[in-house]
Amino acid sequence: MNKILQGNLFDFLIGFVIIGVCFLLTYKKKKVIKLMDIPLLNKRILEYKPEPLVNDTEASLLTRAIMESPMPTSAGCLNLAKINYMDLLNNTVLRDKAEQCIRTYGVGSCGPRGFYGTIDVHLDLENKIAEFLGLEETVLYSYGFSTISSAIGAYCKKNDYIFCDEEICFASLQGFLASRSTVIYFKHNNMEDLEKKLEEVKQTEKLKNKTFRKFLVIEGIYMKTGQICPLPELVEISKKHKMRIFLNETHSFGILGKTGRGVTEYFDVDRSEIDMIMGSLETSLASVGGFCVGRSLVIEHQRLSGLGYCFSASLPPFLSYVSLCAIEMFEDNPSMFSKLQAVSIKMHESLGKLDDFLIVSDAISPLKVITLKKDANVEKTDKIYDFCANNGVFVLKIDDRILFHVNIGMKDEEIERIVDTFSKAVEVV
Amino acid sequence: MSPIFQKGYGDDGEVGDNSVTEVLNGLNIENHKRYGYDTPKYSPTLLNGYLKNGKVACRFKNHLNGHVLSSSSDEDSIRNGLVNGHLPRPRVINESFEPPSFLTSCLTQLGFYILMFLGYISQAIFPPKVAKEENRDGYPPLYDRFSSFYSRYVYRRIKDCWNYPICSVPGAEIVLKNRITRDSGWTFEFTGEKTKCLNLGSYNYLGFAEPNGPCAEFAIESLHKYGVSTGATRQQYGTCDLHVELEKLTAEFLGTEDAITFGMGFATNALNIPTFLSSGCLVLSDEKNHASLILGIKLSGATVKVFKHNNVQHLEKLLKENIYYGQPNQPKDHYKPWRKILIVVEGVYSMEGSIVHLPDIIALKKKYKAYLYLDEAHSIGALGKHGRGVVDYFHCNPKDIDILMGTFTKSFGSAGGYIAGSKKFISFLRKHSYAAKYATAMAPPVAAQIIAVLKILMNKDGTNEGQKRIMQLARNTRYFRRRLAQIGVIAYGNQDSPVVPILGYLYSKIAMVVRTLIEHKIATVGVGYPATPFLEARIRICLSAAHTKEQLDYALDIIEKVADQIGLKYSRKPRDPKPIDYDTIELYD
Ligand SMILES: Cc1ncc(COP(=O)(O)O)c(C=O)c1O
Repeated sequence: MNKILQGNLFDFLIGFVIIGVCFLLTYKKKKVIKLMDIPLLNKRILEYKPEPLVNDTEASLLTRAIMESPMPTSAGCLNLAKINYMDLLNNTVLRDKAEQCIRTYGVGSCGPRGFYGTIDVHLDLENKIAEFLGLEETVLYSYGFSTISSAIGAYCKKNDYIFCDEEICFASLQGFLASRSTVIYFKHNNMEDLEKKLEEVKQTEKLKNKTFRKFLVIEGIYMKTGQICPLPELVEISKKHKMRIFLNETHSFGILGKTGRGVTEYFDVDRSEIDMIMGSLETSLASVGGFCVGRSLVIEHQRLSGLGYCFSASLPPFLSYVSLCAIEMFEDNPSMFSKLQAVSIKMHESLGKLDDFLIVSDAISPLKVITLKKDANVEKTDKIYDFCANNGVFVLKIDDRILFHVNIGMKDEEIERIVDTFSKAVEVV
Repeated sequence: MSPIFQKGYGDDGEVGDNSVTEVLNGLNIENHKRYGYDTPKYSPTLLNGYLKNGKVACRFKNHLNGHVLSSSSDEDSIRNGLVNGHLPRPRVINESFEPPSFLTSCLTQLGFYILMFLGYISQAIFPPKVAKEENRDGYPPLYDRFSSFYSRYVYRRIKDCWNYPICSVPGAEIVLKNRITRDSGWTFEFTGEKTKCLNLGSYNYLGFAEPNGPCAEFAIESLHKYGVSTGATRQQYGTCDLHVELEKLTAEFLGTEDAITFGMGFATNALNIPTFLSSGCLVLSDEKNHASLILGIKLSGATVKVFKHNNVQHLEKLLKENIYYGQPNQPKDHYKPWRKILIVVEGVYSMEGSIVHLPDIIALKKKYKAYLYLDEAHSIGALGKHGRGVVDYFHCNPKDIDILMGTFTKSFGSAGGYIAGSKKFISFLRKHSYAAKYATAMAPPVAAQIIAVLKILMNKDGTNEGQKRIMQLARNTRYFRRRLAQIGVIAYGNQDSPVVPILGYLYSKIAMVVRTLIEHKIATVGVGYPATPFLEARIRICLSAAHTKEQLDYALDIIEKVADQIGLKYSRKPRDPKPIDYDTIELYD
């Protein structure tokens, strides 16, 4: 019986296909061409005056400006702009490993992952990261920025809702744009606000009698504020509302927790509660690139749908090898993390002595964010930034905030010098 | 007849010799009529101003694929492009896209439906071998049903043809790590053995993917000098001397005023296009454009219209219509022109093997005052007498292109991308590009590799290595493509394009060919829907300057055998029986 049914279905299908093909081939769209008025067309072509490609006056000014501050090289300067938490960027062992890798694999990979761009060191690193976090699968991206935007774009689609913190980093915003989902921002680390917004969406769901897919996009340590997200509460709320969590651990992976497993270890949250953890090789792992890790069922999808994964050449092998060695160092040497955390806390305490500055970031975060207590604005921040640079302390600025990164090897004198420079800088503004 | 118009290489059709000046740039396409191709029809009224004297191009017996241009502006550009007082010989485009026979397309459709149908049956019988999501009960599913069905029951069956892990340099030969699957594609395990294959899959056009030699040495040197990464963004303390030198060299190499580089080619497109486009701008994009370009355009919020692949007529039609009608949804009788019109094209299309018709597009761009964005990801280094991409290939003036983009992943054996153009434009990008503001700077060894390659290509190293490689690639390309034509497979694209797609149409055939070729120690790539049109699955071969004639001969012999076995000889063109002499192939003039 089954066979007959199948046979019939087959005949039917074949017939259907052949008719379909014939139809397609004979059918020619008869488009009615609305004729353009030729003289008017010519006039319009002649008169068409497009805007310049970029704002002309601004661009001509810019040609004379210096927009890229070079890497500081002078002796005795403190480069706090560099993300070098574990001091691995200066590690000669890692450099030697990178050299070895270039001598075996060359520099580039010359192809996307699908087309002979998957080199065994990529697989090793993917397995290592998954194993390090106790999760199933990892995908590697060749650029930290594209990791976050591609990963979000792979899952979130047009009819979905994304809830995110208002202090979310720029890369995620690009992902939201690409996804075309509805994005709802809640106040920074404010759980009541999140609940309120979720209730509102629940009302809409009821009204439309449909459950939307909901995503919560958060960061372990927020890149813009240096604050740690209240993960346990967020997980609770997400469970209640059946919302999936995408956690961006760019500044917390290999930093927070007793053994560097990130914000999940810090709060002792079960990692299987998180749908996807996104991270970067550019912070604690001293390389370039990014990764997403989670359950196979979730992560596997990116191998076909992550745009930055499928359509870009894979990470240069030596970069992935360096990260692999860095994780091995973490495993051999878990005391690194408490050491870094101690330095971060010390820095926080020292910064507390400054009367004019508000410390935005959390004590344990190695990413420090400060701002002026009284009427902080961009000009003042610029002045402080310049003053610091002139005194050999290089920091970053975003709007009216000053950012800098702690380094594991920082000595007390250096911390003092930094604090001292800030206090002097206030006098200038 | 004027030298402007010439015959295509290997084209034995006669060429009309009347009204030659009507047809500029000598864009001669293969004899289409003879094989019953659809020849573009022109209505003289629609082509207002398109042909001089209103004559119709069909006068030529050897039909021109409509590459007829508005004369005045084009003559200007030729006059401006004089090289040392004489006209460079315009490039003859010899490009072929032989369509499949009716039977083939029917069978392909049928094959696909059978595949889908069997997929559904097997889904009903065999549950997917993936764990269910834990503690996610009652959550809306993460994927839609079709995409998970497609990846589990259609793609899985041919999954072994992609993502093959390698454990060597992707040079002329690569070493594959053998893997087997015991459960038809759900999981793979390594056997521990390795296979050395001839590499026809990597984008190593100039063969600079090398573990030793001057480039790798320079990369290692800079690794010890600057570290693995500079750990900061370009704008704020992440710029080192290498970046500055790289940008200077890139601009010099391309002949532009300035250039800016980024750590990833994909991000170069995706993050920079939004900086200079916004709503109210129009983008005319080729239908075969790369995902990164499409993403960049999507992120910018501009309106997009897609023109048919490499079809200059369609592009002109769209330009006219859009200048005529302006922005839509305006109050009645209110004409609001587009703020900017940007034409986005690629140099060599990586799935089609075609080369953009650049001179025509430059002429159109000038005539309609549009801007031009050219993505040279696959053409930089791989085309042109000096390796300077399509601009060099067509002897165009790089200043005619507003935005020259390219990547260092392919010919340079490194990673990253650049944008080159006027000083003003690049300065604007330096300030406003998201990639310069928020993303980490290019790793110094990566930059060093590119610098070393650029120096070789520009002959600054004192050897003739760069020229040699460029010529070797050109020779390999022409030789390989002509031999393929003799074999009788359909290879799409331009005779000078090192990307050679061989059409197989059916999914299963592609998988079969890839597997058989790997058995014969040749690594190639198969591509199918969604990367290509639904009915045109293909094998893609990327040639390299690192390949020797012997290696190509070996590959061709095997391909011929496999084509016989599996049935790839779809071409109905007459075959040239003359053996091809590798050493006397005409190259760039
Ligand atoms: C046309 C085009 N643009 C951009 C890219 C992306 O370059 P990358 O691999 O350096 O990210 C590619 C790569 O496949 C490409 O083909």
